[in-house]
Amino acid sequence: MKKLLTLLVAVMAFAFCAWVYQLQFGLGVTGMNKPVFWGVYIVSFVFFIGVSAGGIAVASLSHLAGIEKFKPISRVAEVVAIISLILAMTGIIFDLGRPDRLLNLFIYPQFSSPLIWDVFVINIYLVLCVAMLYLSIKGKTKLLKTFALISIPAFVLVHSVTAWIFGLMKSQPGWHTTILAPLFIASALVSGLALIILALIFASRFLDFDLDKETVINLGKYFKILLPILFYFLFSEFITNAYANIPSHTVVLRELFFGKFAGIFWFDMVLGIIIPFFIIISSSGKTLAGVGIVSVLSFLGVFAERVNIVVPTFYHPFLTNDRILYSYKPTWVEYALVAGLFAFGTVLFIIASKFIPLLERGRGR
Amino acid sequence: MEEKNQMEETITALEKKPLSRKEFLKITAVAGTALAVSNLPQTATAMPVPNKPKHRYAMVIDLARCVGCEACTVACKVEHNVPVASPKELARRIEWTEVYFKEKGDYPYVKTDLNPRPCMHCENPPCVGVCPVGATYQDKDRGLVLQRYARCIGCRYCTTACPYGARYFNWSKPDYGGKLREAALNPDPHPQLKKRYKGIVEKCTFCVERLDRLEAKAEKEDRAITDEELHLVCTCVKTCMGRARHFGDLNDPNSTVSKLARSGRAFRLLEELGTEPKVIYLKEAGNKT
Repeated sequence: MKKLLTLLVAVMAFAFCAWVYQLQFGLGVTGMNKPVFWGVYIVSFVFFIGVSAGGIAVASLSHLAGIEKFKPISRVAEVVAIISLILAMTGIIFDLGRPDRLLNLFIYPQFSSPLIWDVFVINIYLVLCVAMLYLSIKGKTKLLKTFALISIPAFVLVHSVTAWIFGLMKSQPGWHTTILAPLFIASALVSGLALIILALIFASRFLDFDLDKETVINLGKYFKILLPILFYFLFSEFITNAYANIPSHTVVLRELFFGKFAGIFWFDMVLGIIIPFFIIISSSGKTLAGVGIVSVLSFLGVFAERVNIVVPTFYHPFLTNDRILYSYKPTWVEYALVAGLFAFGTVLFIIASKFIPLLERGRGR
Repeated sequence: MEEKNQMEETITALEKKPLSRKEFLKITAVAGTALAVSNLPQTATAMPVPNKPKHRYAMVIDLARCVGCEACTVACKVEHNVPVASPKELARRIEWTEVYFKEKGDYPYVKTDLNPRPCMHCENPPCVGVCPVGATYQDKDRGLVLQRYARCIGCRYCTTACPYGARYFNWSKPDYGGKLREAALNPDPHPQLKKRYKGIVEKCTFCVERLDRLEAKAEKEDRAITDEELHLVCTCVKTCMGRARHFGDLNDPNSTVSKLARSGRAFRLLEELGTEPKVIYLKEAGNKT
């Protein structure tokens, strides 16, 4: 435990140094450039927004649908959701060219921008999550139910608005698709569920958390529905673009299937969706190890999917200049900062476990 | 009873008399306009601009006259004190107007398409709406798309929203390529561009600071700006050795740009996106591969 904490703090310290370095020399120290304006910072922002979904999903399952099995873990879910929202906000600060002007977002908000919608919706969502956690600790079940009810439209809105940041851009053929919002919700649920399971396993391994194996395996069952839905949305997007064969769209699709992003893409499809699905429907899906492996794979798979949504379309702008080669390769600064984000999240989770009773009372049945 | 008969008569009369072509067009035009206006985003092409600005400054680029010397790019960089980029950092260059080269055909029938590209100063600019802090805006009187450098937070949403790639980001501290070049910086650039920052977005302004000066001068002398004067506003236009570029006011039907825009060779880039760009290109008519 102590060793782990030391490692995490070391990663965070390194990331902090990298961030100071980036502040000093500008975003030029990253791998981003002219057509590839957004890189792993935006990817991790979108990813962390996504994983916050798990919290709301599990909390609403236990509070609203009255699934008693999930009651003991709902507090873990809410803590994970809050932490991932904090990480997402930190991620967006890394991406800004002028983080010192961050307050301009509230001084001069322009409400026609999807980015501003996202700023407000994420903040509302964060307040809701904190309120739910607070009520759950105080044990106010009735009020908690109301909040859980409000949190569902908020949940849909957060992930849709995050998708619309991309989906509303007619200038990027890889983004401009109607399926993006539902796709974001599906992949958010997959990654969120995966993170909750991983957090539970982590808590039982490193923290004083009495894990009920049955609960985790029951949670894992939801992969059986979510993974096929995710696959279906992705497939419907691909077949629409492939069949229509509009050059500006097809060129992005080709980049995904056979081009520079083929590795990440096939990792997502095979190791992130198909193999986890077969593991979870097989007999090993009923063991803790099986569910753990499925969670790790689909967690990484969704991260790969986020990369594939954000980056490849930049490689093929409408107007290209043959004199300049387009490429994007993240630098050590970007890797350090993203690793730092993950470390920061884990540390926050450990700290939270010290102050918040993660187990809901009255579980000893 | 009488009334009813009258009505029936008029209806039958209307039915018998076929709608004239003119009338039909009128009705469909009205209906079509109503439909188009009721659509939320104003994407309809060839629609009259609702709040027609006083001036609609536009550029015409004759592709048959462009030789791809990139003098426009260099002139623009000098005029606006744009930092230079090393060959390694080519993908991070800032060129408010640049020439897109596109090679096509197989040997021996090869050809390079040249496409000088300033900012299109669209009438429906996709970059303006997406800015979360309103750092980019449309000049109401002149129809220019301009940037508030002091407000930009550097999120680069506008750069992804621009289908023309006309927006540039300052990735690092400005590098002017040595002391000699720094000493030769333009002493009188756009007032906001005297000091460059890292981390903000910038773009072509149709040399708005020179346009401001010209307008002030014309107002002082209490006269209208002539077409010849406008032609000398944009540095890239002034410097183009093939006279491929023209600058002027589209609202003036007799200006050079208006005349050229009516040419059969005129077209605009990515018109299908409904951005209504105000840079009009003239095709290289008659050129075979």
